[in-house]
Amino acid sequence: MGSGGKNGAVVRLTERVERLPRAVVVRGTASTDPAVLLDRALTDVGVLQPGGVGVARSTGARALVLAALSPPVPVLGSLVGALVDALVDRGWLWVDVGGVVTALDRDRGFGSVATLARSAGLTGQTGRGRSYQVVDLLADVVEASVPAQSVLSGGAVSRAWTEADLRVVVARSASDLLDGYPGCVAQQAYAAVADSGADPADVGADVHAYLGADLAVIDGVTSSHGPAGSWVLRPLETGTVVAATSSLLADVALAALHGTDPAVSRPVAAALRLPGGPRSPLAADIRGDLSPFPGWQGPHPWLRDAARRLATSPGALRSLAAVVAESSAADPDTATDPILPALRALVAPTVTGGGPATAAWLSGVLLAGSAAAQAAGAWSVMFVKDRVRRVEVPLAMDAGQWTEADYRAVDQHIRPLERLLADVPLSAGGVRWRYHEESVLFEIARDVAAPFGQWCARVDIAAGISLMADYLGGRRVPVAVDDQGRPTMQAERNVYLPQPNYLAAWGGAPIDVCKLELVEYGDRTHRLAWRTVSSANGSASRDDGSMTFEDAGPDRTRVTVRGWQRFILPPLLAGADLDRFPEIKNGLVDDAYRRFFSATFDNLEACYEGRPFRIGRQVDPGSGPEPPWTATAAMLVDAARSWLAEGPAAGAERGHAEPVVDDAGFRHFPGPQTGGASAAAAERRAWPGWPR
Amino acid sequence: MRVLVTGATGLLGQHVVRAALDAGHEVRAVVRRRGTPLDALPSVRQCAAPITDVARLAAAMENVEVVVHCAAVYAYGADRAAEVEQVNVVGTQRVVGAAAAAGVRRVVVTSSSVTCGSSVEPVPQDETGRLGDEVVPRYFTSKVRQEQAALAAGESGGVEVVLAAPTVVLGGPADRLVPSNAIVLRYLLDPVRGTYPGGCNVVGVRDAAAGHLLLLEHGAAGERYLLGGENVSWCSLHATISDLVGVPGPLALVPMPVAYAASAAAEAWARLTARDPLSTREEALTIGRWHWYSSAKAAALGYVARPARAAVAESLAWLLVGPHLPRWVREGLRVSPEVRAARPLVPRPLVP
Repeated sequence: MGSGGKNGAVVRLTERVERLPRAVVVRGTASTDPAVLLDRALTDVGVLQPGGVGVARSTGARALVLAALSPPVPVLGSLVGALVDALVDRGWLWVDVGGVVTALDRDRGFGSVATLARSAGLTGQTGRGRSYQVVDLLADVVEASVPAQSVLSGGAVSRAWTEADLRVVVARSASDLLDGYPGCVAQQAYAAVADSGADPADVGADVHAYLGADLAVIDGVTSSHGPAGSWVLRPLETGTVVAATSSLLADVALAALHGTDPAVSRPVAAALRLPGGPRSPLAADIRGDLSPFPGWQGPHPWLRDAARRLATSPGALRSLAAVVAESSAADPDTATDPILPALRALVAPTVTGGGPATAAWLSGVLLAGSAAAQAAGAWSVMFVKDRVRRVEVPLAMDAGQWTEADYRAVDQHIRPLERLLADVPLSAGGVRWRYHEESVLFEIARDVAAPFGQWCARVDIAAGISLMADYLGGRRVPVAVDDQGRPTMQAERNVYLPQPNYLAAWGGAPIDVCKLELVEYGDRTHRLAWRTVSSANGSASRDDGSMTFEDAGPDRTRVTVRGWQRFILPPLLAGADLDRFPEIKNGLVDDAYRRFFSATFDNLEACYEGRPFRIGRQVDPGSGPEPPWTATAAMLVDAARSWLAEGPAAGAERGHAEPVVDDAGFRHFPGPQTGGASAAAAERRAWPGWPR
Repeated sequence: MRVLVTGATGLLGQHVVRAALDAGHEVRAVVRRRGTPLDALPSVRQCAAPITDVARLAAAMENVEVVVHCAAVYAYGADRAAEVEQVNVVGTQRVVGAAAAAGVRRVVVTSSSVTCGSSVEPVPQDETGRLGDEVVPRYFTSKVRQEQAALAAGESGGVEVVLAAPTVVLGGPADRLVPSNAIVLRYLLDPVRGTYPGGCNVVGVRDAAAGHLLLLEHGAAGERYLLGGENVSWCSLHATISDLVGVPGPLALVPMPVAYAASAAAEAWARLTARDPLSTREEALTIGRWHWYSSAKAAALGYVARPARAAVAESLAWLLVGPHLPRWVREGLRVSPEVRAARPLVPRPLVP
């Protein structure tokens, strides 16, 4: 089988993931010098021993330490200094310490890596008087050199991280409201500038897979626990340092120390799911005492679930963090935002207090918020699709694991199904469909007024699935091409809005499926056939089909889509068991297919004409992070205050002012008053960078 | 002939330009700014000139034989009254004045059928009709004053002026939503699929444009010509829309007071959201009357128009690909092949 696609396409995971790494847990007492703990850990893990990857092989080699600097739980400055000293001792004459400023850091008033580093006690000099530089990892980025199946493909990553001869990541032992613990895999995600819509968990997993650290260290000297230890400092003396040759293994060790399942962390779960990832129990590779920290309290699963349901977008995450986290003196919103203090007063005591009752109260508050968020999301899915965030995803399977015979078999699977539709009459919605093996088998066609050749030149049959209605995003990896460079076999992952859309209001998940696809290019027919092999979120048990462009005579092309689908209903609707009411279900099925494919055909025509057709919004990473929800409310309060201050009459006069019409016929309206608190607030909320 | 078209990027103006090109004329277009849909027509010379600047208009009209003055503000509501008056009346006066200064032989001025009045009975009006004492939108009166200004300026400047009075012009492109296409859109968005007493006359934009070209060559100076299509009741117009997009309706007869209240709400919402209202109280006031017209005078010159159904289908075809019809509404429609055929697909340029 040939290969195609970006960076050579057919993908194999790097040796970095497949090799069996080692981790060491060193535990002392509260009074043990962190440098001593680190030295023992580094010695035992062997990375820095002669012949290990942690020993510089040339005098010009560079080491980069990616350190967690975010307040209120940055890594210990003295531990970082000791690590730098250890690296210099092993011949690394060039050691930099890198960090990034997240949207949450900015929300707390930290505008640069330098200020974060100062706040964390990183002085640029080690305890032994050696200097190191603190760098902003994302100040200089390069295109990620990763396989096409990676979510990082086509995106940008830190040049310093990518080009370092030794990559080290240092995380802090803390609990996390959303992920149980923020470990090294999550920390590594900061080396990438994620495209809008990419799940940070996928980014962390793929950085781990393709640009992973050579050495991972966890600062567990003083941990921070409680429901949200990474946002609210609740110190617990744990006197521990973990060193590992893999971020994933370090996180597995950390999870054990926290007494939790490693997979509660979404980045770790994503890394564990990576195709070709570890298959043996990782904990067996860890040396040291893995017994949980005495007195450790993490977020209750209810609380974690509620927080995840709420923080479904960067803006929601910023709001959640702003409400839950301790207010900082440097926090620019503290003085001016009237919403945050009120919400903080509601939830802050529960975060710092701990205990099941307070966790239940906080869960209730977050669930109420998530219910509102879900309702707003469902509204967008049904009525304002352009507001839904597009997604960037990894392929979530190894395209190369399938043989040519597997791809060829797609056609043999689909053709007999197509024949089953031949005698089915058209429904009221113009669809031929029937039930077959608990799934819907359908066919729908439209003749478009375009010559076949012109149509095929503008509408790429290989991209057919991504042109369909309600497509949120995905990834397509060609694995074989013809002599014209056109894909003939490809693997694809697609994410769509819930189908039918109204399922969103019942908690329906987006359709997320991975497919093997076969593409054929004939003189009078182009055809794409697909077979679903997995669904990352279990949203479909079957989604197979074909799309065909046929020459239908002069100036006509017939577009036909056939499919065999079974989408999984949300529990509420599944309980209703509509199969018992065919009078209702048949109408719903017919309407759903008619709507979906009517929009799909419209999309194809728009593609032919060069009109925009995709749903969703693509957030430009350069346009700054999504504002927190509270910002909208704060602006409304601002506006109401100024309106009340000026008096309703003043507002009315401004709103109804007559426009001035210029000679060209343009109307000029007096603009709103600007400046003051509103302008300052608007500027404050327009920070650049990727929200995390 | 060398033809200059004002308002050449508007709904009607674009089609007048294309019709003039198809007829073999050399076309200049007066536009407000560069970067217009006319960029796709390289043979059209575009001149950026304010519609009230006589000197720049006259310069644009140098060596031009005839002018089609389509530029106008087609809008309702008090908010835009000053603009309507300025562009429709003052602008027309200056365009005809500039034409006189540039030695242009003839100007066809796009007026409106509303200048011929309406009736409480379903009786078609002709060119002899006038506005009565009924309450009418400011746009209606501005078109009456436009006609008067055009004829007066033509007489004083020695320019032949012919008045073209199209009825409700439907079609596309519909990037900018004009009130005529908004009639169709409003019905699609109306959850109760309401219709009104009274009726109107609808004409496809291509027919109206062809009518302008006809008057350019054959219209009598100082005369006005109604350029209409089919006379329909609102109910039958709305039923046609329903039939073409496969939705039930109309389902309710909405009397004028209810429409007026709904329009007031629409205006309030538009003010809040800084958008143009989809309907206005001024338009609501016209409900119940019959805006029916006869195009016999133009037909005697060879004017022909397609049935209302074809005009509605064209309007729908453009609305379906435009920005004004929400996706969730569009996805609920069962669009007939007639609608799809009403707008030819235009292949995008291939990137080498």
